[in-house]
Amino acid sequence: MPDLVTHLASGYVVVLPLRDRTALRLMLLAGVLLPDLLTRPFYIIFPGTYDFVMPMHTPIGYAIACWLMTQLFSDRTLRNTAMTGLLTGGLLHFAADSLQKQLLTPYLWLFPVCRCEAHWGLFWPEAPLRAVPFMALLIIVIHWTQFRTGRSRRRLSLNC
Amino acid sequence: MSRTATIPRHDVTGHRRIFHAATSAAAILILGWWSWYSDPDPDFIEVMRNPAAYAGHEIKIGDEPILESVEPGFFVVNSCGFRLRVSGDLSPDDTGHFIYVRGTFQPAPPGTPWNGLVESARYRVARGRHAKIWISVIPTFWVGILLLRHFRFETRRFAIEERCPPDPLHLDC
Repeated sequence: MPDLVTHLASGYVVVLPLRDRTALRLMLLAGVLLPDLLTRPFYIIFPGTYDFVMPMHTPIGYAIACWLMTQLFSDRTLRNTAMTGLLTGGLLHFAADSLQKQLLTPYLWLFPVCRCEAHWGLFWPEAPLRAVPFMALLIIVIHWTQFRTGRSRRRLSLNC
Repeated sequence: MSRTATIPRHDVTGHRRIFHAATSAAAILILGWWSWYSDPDPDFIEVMRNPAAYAGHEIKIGDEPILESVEPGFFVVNSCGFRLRVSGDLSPDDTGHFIYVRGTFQPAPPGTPWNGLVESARYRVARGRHAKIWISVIPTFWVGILLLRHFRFETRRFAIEERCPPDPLHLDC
């Protein structure tokens, strides 16, 4: 995986056109991070659990995990919005992950249908660290401009 | 205004939510078991418990192993508390970094300080993985704060709701 700052920056770029849909935007940003958050902490803290949590870093397993999480939303519209955001973010995450090389832990995109692996192998997982300052700046700029826009819009609507 | 606009949008009973949550949780558990069961590579812990049975097998050491020390012609990797001697050349500067190893396993001879030997190894030192893990904590907290600012947990309905819905009159129903 690239670091989560890089993943988040890719999410911020995608949510740029979604200024009026805060819930969808936030869910997409969460979805960009979730595949790693659902798996990495477990097998970093408890080595040996990789096999058990790995399915949540595959599209089908991740979609099921999203379905489970979105059951916490009682509002049907909000639940669908959350599912759309989490799935889109997750796909963006998997797309970024598929660009990197792997030595041991291949990404099984079609699991549990088959254990066939595929990746582009353009860079090693730690390589995007060099771009973290740029990515962080990108996040700050996009967030700041969106926040400003949102605040000014709210002010306008109050005046109406 | 149409009559449907006054109907609350939330699922009042929640029975369907409970059913969906239970089935998806069960599906995740089954996937986890299937992932472990169908993995063609021998489990590292299993190899360490029964080293003689896996002599000559190719194994992967990927459970967040750390490069413990570097000697001429070999290095020592520590994974899950087990120490393995891996044939290969590395710089002493790499000590302390995460390392991933794939190679042919042989049980360690008695009296040696290792739990096994790995030969014909392909390996890669993951310089920067520590930094990557710690840097990744920041965006996690950042998105967590954004989510907490926008959503709240309604304990009575056991449900997450928007603090300030975009359309409080539900005219978009």
